[in-house]
Amino acid sequence: MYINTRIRVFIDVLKSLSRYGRFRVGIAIIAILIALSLISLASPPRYKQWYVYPKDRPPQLTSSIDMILGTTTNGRSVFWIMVNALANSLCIGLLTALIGSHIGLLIGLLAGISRGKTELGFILLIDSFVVLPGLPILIVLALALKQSMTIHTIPLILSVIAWAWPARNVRSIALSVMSRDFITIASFSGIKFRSILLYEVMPYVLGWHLTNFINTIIWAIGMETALAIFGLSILSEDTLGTMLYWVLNFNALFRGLWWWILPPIVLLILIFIGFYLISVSVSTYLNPRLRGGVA
Amino acid sequence: MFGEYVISPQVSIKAVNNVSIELKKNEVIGIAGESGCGKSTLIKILYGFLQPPLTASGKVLLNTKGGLDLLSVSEDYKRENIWWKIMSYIPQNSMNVLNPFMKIGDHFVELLRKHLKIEKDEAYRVAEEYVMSMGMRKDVLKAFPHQLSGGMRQRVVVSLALLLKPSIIFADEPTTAVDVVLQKVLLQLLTDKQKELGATLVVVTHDMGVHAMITQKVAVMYAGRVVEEAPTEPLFEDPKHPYTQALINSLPRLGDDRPRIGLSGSPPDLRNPPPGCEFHPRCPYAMDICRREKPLRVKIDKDRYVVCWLYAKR
Repeated sequence: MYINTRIRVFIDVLKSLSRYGRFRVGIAIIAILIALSLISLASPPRYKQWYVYPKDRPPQLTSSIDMILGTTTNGRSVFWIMVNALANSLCIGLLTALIGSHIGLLIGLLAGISRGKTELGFILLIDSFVVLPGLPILIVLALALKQSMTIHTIPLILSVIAWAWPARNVRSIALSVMSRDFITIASFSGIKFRSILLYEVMPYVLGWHLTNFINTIIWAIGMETALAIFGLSILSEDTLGTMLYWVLNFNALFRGLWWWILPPIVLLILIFIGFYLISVSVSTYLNPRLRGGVA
Repeated sequence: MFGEYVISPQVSIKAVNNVSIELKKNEVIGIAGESGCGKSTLIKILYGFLQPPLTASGKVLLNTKGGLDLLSVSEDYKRENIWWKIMSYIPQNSMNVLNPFMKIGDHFVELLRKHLKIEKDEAYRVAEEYVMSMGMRKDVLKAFPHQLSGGMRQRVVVSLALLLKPSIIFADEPTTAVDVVLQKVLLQLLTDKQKELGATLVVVTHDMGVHAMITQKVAVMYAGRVVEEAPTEPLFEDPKHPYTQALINSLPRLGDDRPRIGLSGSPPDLRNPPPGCEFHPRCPYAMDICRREKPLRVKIDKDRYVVCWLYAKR
């Protein structure tokens, strides 16, 4: 019964969100990308081996899906590399967002409601992580932890930096909401602090949290790509970043192997556009003033 | 009672100083005074809502609970039994105090569930009936605050304040930032409901016109003290304290085209108030003693008190 109503509410939200053109486009892009990444489950184990196919084969439509995008210099199928890289990159982005932005939410809220010395402590902590340059630190961390890195531990390393901006954001939202008149009135009317936090402050913060969450996905995928281009990601696994690394390493750009260069770049751009469109339409929807029409 | 904003160990603002006020059943009391004289702080103390940096000493006794002192009971007790049930509060610029992320109905339901411990559906039914009894359509409950006009929002806020039939209603500047038409409607609604509930209504405003219109008794505050306390009519006809005189003389009157003379100067810095009577730097009748000693509370007539050396018999 309870679950049924929850599901109905969720469907209603999706319905009203789908009235935004931006949301429809964004969700379509992401759906296509997820579908592509799901194909990776069907990838034959041999795609990882080198020289299975003839080298430098240009794209061609054959009866098999293996060759649809041609092969790399090492004789690997670009299509299978691409879908696996996409799946891994999305996984890294999602895990980082799950860890980093939630740490940010928690610390930001605590910083927003604490006063005095605790508040100063939180501000010091958050601000020092905000001003720390992210990439150099990640490079150092990645160098130090290179031995033990897997697709599932990279998000942990990225989260070290990823939580700070969301925390700063959530703290400022919490502070601004806590000083609004309706919070004072809510406490005047005898509502407990905990309920005020849950029912009055959280709706504001959650809207921003969702946007933070999506932005962290984008940030994490971009950051992993940046690390990979320096050769600091897990080069034995395929991510969009390592794909670019090998592209650069084998000088595909100058050799005109466009079917190898374009897939990772196009996918990265599509990921950014798709998530950006969703993020924008969600934040519009969450504010009843901007939502428009009868809610 | 005393109220003090402790900003740091060195700096504190005595916003309410030695005030004693009695609220009777079925009465409309006005608190007048210029900005920064401690009106809102007084209301907060009377309401028992003390949050740092505000601290208070003295007593706020509640008769309905057998002389309970609001300043000494725990906040949880006040939350459960007093706030909104016995005392309620209509905030300053009440147009903008509704949560923009919640529908009007949810505001009502939240309060009803909290205080009456009833289920959500039932609370919604109660809210519907209540809103109809306040002369609004029940569609209001489905709207978000920004979809209503300013006047409707104020009506909603007043209805929220009266939801649990409180016996004391504090209205903190209910009519600031409202045009005169809405002012009248709002004050009418307030006084009607006050009569219906037999409640005490405390109206805080610097607008002497509002006091003249609805209050039965007025306390005039200056620099954290009540300088004059009197029934409304005699106060307006024959103000005693020089500050009250200045306040009332500043009101324009029909057929009177003399230029209005305002008081020179500005209210004192409450961090270190002037010695003696706080009003003496601006008072046209200031005497020697005013600069040295605090004036005493003098009873002029029945229910009429003034704090001024001019009326002290020595």
